[in-house]
Amino acid sequence: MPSMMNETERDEFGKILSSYISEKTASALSMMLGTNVEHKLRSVVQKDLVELDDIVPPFVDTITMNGVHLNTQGDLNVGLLFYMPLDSAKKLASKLLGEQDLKDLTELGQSSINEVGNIMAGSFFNAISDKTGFQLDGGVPGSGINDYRSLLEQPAAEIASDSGDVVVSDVVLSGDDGTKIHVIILLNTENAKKLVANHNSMN
Amino acid sequence: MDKILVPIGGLKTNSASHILTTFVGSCVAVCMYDTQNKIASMSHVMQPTNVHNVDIDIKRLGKFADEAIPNMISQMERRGSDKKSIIAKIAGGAKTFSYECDDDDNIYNIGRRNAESIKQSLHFHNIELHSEDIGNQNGRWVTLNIDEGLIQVKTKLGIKTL
Repeated sequence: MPSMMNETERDEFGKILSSYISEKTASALSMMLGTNVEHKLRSVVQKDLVELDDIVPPFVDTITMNGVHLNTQGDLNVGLLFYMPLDSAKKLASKLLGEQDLKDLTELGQSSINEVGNIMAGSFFNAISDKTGFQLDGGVPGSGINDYRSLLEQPAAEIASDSGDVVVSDVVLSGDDGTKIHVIILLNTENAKKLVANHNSMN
Repeated sequence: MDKILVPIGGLKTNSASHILTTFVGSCVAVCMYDTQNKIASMSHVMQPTNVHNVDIDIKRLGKFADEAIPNMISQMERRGSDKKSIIAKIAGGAKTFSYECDDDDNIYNIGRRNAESIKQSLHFHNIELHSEDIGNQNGRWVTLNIDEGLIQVKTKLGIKTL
């Protein structure tokens, strides 16, 4: 693993991510939902890829999740995984489509959830570019219905493919209407440090 | 019976009285078994090839398909395996994410590309692929009981023997 981030560096990194989410991502979600949205950064951990299973909470595999994954190329490789329990995703899709409670997540419903992920990711990537000067090219959203561990594997593997390490930041956004979306932000250590350095030099 | 967890990108080789196990989503578990000497190896393959020629540390010998297969053979031979007695079984390669504009063959289907690269590498090294459980969307727990040479794949849909 490349040089570790110490606790102070992880705290600083977490505060920077939290400010981007507060300024851009939470407000983007708030506009889409028409309700106030708060966020909480739950943890920032640095892991060797072989230790990834350590961050999967016990028994979480019993819950079927809906996940949306996006990543960036360019000056930084950033991976985002938005996820929520499938039942919550159906409620969110119902709200977005203006329909009664959907029994199944239809193609249109999934597309609406993808769009939420796309807009939230876009706002987050824009915040990074604005505050660091890095140019990021966002990919297209991919969606999956699976347990959390299965959803996490591919995004983490992409980010850690060269360096073998990943900094995993766990955020939850909560709307006053009961909507709750979990966001996993993934960078490798080198990119996390680059983000902090450029943020500090420009702000 | 000692259970050994093969971590993501990892590779473990052992002999009797052990169970090798791993969890795979889009990654692929490659199981090799020496039917004569009861020596087994399992790797958790993340990507098809080491295209950037990344230096691999010892914790991630199973990371790339093109390197995992020779690494597994080498470790088994060091424990006394005869390559002619080694067979392979693979499981995983789920398509955990779908894209609105995609089909099964595009670049986003990392699971399929992992499986194809593993098959090519097995063929190149003259290892018989005995059976496989590849694709779908489910994550899989894969266990290899070295005493019995038994490989089981557990998903939400149930348990199957490879």
